[in-house]
Amino acid sequence: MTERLLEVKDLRIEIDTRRGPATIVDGINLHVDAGETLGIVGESGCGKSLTMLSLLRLLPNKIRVAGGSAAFQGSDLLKLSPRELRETRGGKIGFVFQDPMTSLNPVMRIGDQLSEPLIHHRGMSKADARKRAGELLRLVGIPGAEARLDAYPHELSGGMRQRVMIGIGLACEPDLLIADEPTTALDVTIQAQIVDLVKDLRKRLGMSVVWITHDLALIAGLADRICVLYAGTVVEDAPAEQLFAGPAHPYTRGLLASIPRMGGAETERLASIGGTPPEPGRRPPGCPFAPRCALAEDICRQVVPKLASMQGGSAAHRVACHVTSRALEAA
Amino acid sequence: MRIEAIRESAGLTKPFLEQFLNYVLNLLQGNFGNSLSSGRKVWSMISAAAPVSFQLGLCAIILTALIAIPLGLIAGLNQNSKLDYTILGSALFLWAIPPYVAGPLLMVGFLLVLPGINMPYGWGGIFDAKIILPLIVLSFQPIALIVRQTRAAVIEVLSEDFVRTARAKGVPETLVALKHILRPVLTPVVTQLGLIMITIVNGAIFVELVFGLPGLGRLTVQALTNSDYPVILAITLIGSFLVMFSNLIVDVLYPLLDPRAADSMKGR
Repeated sequence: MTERLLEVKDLRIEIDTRRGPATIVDGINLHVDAGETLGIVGESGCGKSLTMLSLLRLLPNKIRVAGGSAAFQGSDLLKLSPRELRETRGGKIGFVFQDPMTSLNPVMRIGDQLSEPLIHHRGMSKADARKRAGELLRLVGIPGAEARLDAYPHELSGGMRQRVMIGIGLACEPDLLIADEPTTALDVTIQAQIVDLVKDLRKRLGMSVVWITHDLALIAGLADRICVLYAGTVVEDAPAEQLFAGPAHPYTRGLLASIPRMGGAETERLASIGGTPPEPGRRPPGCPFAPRCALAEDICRQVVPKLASMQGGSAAHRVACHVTSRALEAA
Repeated sequence: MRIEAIRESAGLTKPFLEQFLNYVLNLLQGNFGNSLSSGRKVWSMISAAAPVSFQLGLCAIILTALIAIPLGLIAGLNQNSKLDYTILGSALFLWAIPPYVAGPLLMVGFLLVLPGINMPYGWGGIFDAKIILPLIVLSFQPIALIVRQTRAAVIEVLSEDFVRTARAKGVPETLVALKHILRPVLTPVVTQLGLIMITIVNGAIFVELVFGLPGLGRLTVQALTNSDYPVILAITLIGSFLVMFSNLIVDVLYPLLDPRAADSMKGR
């Protein structure tokens, strides 16, 4: 078995509302192995970004971790001292954020922004850090790398800025790179370039990657394993090929069915999942997906299904569904 | 007869347009005319008073910046804490005291508590200890204003994505505050400080009267009570010129503070 790099257990995240705290992330369990790329998929508001932000204590105001643990290299990320936390941020775990337009400091030259992690983690001098920053720009494929060190973010295109963000995330060669929807704000051709870039860098640097997205088609060619999140819980966790070949959770099936296909009849309507996800704090007592699920039975509305390997299926393919895990057993 | 003679010599018998043209032509040559009450040249009166006001304004602004910006930063970073409420409450308290109350009160207080001290009255240059009290009074309301503005701007910048990025990079909190948060906050705050300085230079009427400072404020009051029109006109003109000039300075400085503005000016 490969080495576990990160293991998140029973993570719960709450938000303060006028009606009191509401649970947004409700007992998430997931893990990342060394050298692995994990795709985290789910629709907006399912808690995928918050889960990752909480690991480095970057949650916005009024949102906080209410329980759980996150083992990373022998310590619990959620219990780090401020000093250890600072060393982990950017040093052992790199972060790439969603919107490169707002995630870079608009009044700071990108060379300085790239140098910061090097100065604070590697103790580099300004001059050394600047030299390394130039190399990083070349690494992430920015033409005329060194010449761009003195540019301000607004002088670069969106794709270039996201490359700079990735450069910042990689600066200290972290063991884990967390990419939070890094391509959402970019157009399709740039998306493909960024995906290829991360794939290539992962191979060269041998790091693990967590890639958060709502785009199943995008993650298909990138991830080794995929976690599907729904309403703050993991509903399916499987190696990528197994997930696409035989999705087990009704929600995953719905997601896959809603990907548009080339060559379908022009009049064919895209499949969609009826209803909307439950609001935080108003989740149904049983399976959170039950109200929208065509297969739902009585037990689904009463008992929360646990994430478990499917009987008769691969051990790595786990699903949180009363019905489909049983159906496979029968078949 | 005498009145007629004065009318004649002041050119008041000429048509209005001609009088105005003469005034403007004189202005262009730097001649503001003579004071009606003292007969002195208006320009020499103003050039004696303006440096006093200018030094007062500059020092008050420096004092304000040194006190208010750090306090505003601390309050903003600790939003809704006891520290924040204390700073904000003190600022509100200062804001509520008008200079014509603060000036005499502080003066009396000083004299009663520290009887040995000299009467803080009159002008002995900007390095004279007498200047401290008027500077404090002048800074009361600007400090309150800048504390609140800095705090609000810090809270706004705190929620920006790039602050999160800086933290995710592992930048120490103090440096996040100084390098990433303070910089964007300073742009609007510096602009505001400049505008406050202009209002002080234009005449801090009450403070100058209370502390006997021979600045533009006192000159204004004297001119108004004597209906000394040439002086009033000159002060008004110079005041409006100062405001325009300071706006120009702010516009010129802006690209230095914000590189995005520099590019939009170049038309990129």
